[in-house]
Amino acid sequence: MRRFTDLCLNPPLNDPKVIEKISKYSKLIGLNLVGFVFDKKSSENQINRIIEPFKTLGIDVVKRIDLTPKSRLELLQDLRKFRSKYEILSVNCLNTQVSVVASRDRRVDIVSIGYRISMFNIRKMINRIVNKPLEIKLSEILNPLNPRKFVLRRLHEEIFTAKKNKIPVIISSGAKNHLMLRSPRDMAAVGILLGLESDDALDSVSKIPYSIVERNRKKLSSKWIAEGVQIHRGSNN
Amino acid sequence: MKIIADNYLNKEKLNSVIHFAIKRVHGERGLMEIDPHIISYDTRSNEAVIRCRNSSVNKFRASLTLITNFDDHVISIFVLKTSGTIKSLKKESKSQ
Repeated sequence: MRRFTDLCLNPPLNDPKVIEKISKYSKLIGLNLVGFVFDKKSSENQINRIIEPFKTLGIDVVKRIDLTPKSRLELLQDLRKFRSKYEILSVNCLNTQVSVVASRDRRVDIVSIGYRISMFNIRKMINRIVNKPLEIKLSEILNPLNPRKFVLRRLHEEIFTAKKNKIPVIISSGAKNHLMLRSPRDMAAVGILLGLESDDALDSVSKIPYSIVERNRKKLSSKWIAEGVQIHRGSNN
Repeated sequence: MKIIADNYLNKEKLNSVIHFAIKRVHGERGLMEIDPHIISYDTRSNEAVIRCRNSSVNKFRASLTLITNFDDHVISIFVLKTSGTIKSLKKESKSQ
């Protein structure tokens, strides 16, 4: 049986009512794991307070941070600072310089393309992404900053180019409140509408995000030394 | 299907919402292909059972997913369960 996830929930962090409603609806629509976007200043106490209502409902929560660097240097500084604190690190690429570094750096988990990028540059940027999942946020369609037909056209282009380059796609809601949440199979249906195959669309809300989370949790655990090297101690030690 | 719409919907309005949502994404042809029918709508729980063509489930889901407002009212629709038979859906909604 598939376990479903929404890797990007982005509500106001100091509004407990909104967070509680989101947790309630996340349970209703059958999410097993959610990724919560924190900002650079979030304290450990605040993070624990936000995670609590999800945990009581049996939903696993992943700490995530979204970086929007303007230059290569800024991205590298942020990666150094936040990699060990958050389980998911996503980079929103505003130019090709950043997208090249983000796609090559192993510390980056997810890449997304800024909404102001032209069609030509979208193709150019996605062509340079190697083995990094590309994220599509449903909130870009539900609350569009440009006319909706342009948003749909851009996302269609992103998915088409990602498919051509065999780049995995992740679909998440980017919900700011419970009204923007959508069930995982509904998000997959939008993925199909934008050009994904039905299996790939379902993987984009289940297998692909789960594999990233599992890999990163392993890396952040105290047992992890390097790729392929882990500490295993017997019960006697 | 669970609907959030600040107590504004009845069965007729829900029908209009569904038709509007499908037409906006898939057009008249999509509406013809999907062929939606409201089987039941409980205004208290805001839950509805809707029939559509089996081959167009994903199209129907996508159109419902992309709706955010209708007649200046905020609307959000979640598909809670799909099934091949209406009987099993009704059983499910009774058990909840």
